[in-house]
Amino acid sequence: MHRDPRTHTAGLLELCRAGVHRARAAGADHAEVCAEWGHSVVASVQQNDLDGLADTEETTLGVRVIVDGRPGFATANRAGALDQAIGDAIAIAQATAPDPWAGFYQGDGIERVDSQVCDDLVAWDAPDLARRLVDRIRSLRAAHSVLTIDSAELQVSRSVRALVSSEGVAGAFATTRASGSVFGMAVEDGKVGSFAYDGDVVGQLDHVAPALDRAFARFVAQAVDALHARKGETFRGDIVLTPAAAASLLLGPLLGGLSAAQIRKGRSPYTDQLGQAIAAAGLSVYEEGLGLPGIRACPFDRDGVARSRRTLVDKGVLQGFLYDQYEATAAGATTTGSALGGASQAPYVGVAACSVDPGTIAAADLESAQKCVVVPRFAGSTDRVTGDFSGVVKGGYLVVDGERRPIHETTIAGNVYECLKAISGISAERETIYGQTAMPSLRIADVSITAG
Amino acid sequence: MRDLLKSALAGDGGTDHVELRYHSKVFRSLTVQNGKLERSTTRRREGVGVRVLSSGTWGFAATDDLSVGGVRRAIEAARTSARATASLRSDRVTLAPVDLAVGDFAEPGVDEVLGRSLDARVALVLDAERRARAASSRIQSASSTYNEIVTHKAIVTSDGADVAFRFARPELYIMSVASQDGARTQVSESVGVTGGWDCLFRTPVEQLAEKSARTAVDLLTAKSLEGGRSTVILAPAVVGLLVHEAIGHTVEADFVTSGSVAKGKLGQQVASELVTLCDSGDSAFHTGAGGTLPVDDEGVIAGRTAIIENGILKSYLHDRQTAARFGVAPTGNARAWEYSDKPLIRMRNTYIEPGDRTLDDIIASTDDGYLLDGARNGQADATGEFTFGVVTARRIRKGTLGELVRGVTVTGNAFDVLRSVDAVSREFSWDLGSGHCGKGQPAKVDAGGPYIRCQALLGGVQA
Repeated sequence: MHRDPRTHTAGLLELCRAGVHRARAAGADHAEVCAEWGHSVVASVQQNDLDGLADTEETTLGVRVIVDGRPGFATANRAGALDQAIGDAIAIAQATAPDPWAGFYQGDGIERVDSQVCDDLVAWDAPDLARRLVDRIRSLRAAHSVLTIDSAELQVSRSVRALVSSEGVAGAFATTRASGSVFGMAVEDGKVGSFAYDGDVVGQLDHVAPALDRAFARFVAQAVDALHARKGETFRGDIVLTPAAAASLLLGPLLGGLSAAQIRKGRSPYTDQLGQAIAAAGLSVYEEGLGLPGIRACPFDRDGVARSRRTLVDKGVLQGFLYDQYEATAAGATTTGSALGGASQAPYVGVAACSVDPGTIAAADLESAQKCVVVPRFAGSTDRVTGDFSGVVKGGYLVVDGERRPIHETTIAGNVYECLKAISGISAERETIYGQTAMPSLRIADVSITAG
Repeated sequence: MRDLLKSALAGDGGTDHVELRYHSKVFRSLTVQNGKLERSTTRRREGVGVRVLSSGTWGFAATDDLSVGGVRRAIEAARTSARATASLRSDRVTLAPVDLAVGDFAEPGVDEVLGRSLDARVALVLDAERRARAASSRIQSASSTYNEIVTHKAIVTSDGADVAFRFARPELYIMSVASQDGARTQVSESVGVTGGWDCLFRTPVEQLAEKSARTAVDLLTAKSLEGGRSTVILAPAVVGLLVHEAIGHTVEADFVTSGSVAKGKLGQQVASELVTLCDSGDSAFHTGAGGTLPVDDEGVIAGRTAIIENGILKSYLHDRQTAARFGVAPTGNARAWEYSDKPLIRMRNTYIEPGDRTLDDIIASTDDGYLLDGARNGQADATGEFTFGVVTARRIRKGTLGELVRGVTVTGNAFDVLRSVDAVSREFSWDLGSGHCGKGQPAKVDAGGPYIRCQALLGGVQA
């Protein structure tokens, strides 16, 4: 087995070309094959002890066809199953009504091969991966004896994606990634604290240690403080969302609402809102099509369209929507290179990475209100059509006159689209979340808070 | 496939414990929205997952090479990993002895599902969506999704498991979006089973579609609830989510080892005497529960485990490793989602056993509270604290059902909630068969129970 993903690029491109040729021969008018090779090694800790190493290698294929204007898609996980996937895709197309928007992006016939490969990650020895994880967990528990680690992982992955279509798209991108995570809680004298977890994804071996230092420090603070959580207070007022909580509670629904697919389906609140203020004036959001610093995204999207950096929201004003090839055709627009999906998925609209501009207030000063609740993690449900959300604050703090104490059984409820307009503070500091989102902390006014 | 695995194992001269698991999944999915087939996919994935226990340490490898040589190379990769890291492990892993499954098993419905044509599946989703959209002029849009997973597994271990089994898991979702005067609501109804379409459509499509649309329309004019502690009657779907998320996870023995709130509580009263709570690979009371399976992924028969019996905590959920550590028999809870996943301790069908009251009687004897139905997005904590959304909350005053309330989150400590149970209905249903549990990897599970009355915290909007 060759661990360097670049050594698989030519073979995958050839597999894709063969697939397109065979799909055409089998009756497809147009065809596209996406193939991915991946090899990962994962060291895992379970219940404070090494669980072992897992070594997985797999090739995945995705076949899209159009037969008489009817689209079909199928996927399989072995190169030898290519003909089966082609047959499945054609069978689906034949059972489907013609779709006037179905079609592939018109490429220029030039093959584009690119990579972001860290040689040190290619060479990273599996036992060393396990050793680093175990050492980290042991020192964490030596420093904080109340901590118990339910699970933790350190992973290295090497992968290549290749995409070829009958319409002149041909490209491949090879990459290496390292990721780590920790999940656990604090236990002391029979008292159990709330779960805490954290982690990160990086593209270089020398970034692993600093990224895990930061993630594990956040984990420790959350887990240890939760052990001393007490009842909160019921009131209507400010909440401060940490970057991770802000991304999950607010940014997810916002980006979902900017998807042209959601607009076409009547599920977005932002239809006809282009050029309108949809958020507080301090909020600027970008699609980072090329990825964030140090961790590049694949330079072409799932349709084969070149990705770019785009402004989605500028100082609170909506600047643009997200289109893949299908939605652009449906809307009479131009694709924005926003097709996501791996080989095992048909394209769908989304961002490869995104960022939110930092503000000017120090994160600690966001908590300067007379009374507020700090939300490190939100566990609940959000109705993305209406924007209504309701759920519990995990690892939260109540801040009263500058005094911060951990709380439990506290719920928050409101509307995410209203919250975006009610942002009253954006931190100057940002965190990069799992290599995909650069996000500051946000303070939101007038949220309903209920203590148990 | 048992023969392939046995051939690969026969060539292994080592003394290590070797577990080979062939796993094939065929997943089909179709989605219709507003009369248009939006998405249709067939996904095939197969391979062999290999675990080797050497020097008291696990090594795992997964391969999509289905030749004897390919599986043998994966065995060596797993063995190499185990031996290379054995010095890093503090406690040696041992496995509890158990009679392992031998033979072929098949849940009902596999051939029936495989025999359905693609055209029949397309017609089903088109019909379901059309019915929801036509149910009311206030339905702005509707969608339906049909998913189906047909699984074939074979497990061969060096200590005697030699088993193959198949099952089919079809499921249908119908979502309705209603709008009126700028207000919008969306409600999803779903059903999922282990079995064929005859089992899936014991709840007819038209009934699912009509309920989805009617609830979405009714919620348009529903008011928000003011949060606080309240008496609540939980419908089977909500009971299912509660027992799965908030109790079930805390009694998974790996999590108990980590220090969950259930640790050290065996033999203690942890719930009302009215509560008997089980997890089972069988489908109790009604056939077709979504987490039904004959054998787990270590080759252990997946029987019934009474977790809480008449309020007393009786058992945790085990794989062979934790069973050895706790000195008990494995409970058949080791499950892996794909061939490339390691088996973890997972629930199957989790439920509270029915009682002797009727729902009507429980409502009539409730002075002030809410009837909560339609579970969504459950999460629970190491502490037993849980939170999940319910689609509808109906006010109860002086024994009578009143107005509908929207957007409610239920929060509490699961054991406190179960201690507060003072009524359990005789009506029982499985209601989470279309759900998946997440624990690093997904698992198809089901959960349900009777209606129960208890105390919980409702998250609402403060005036």
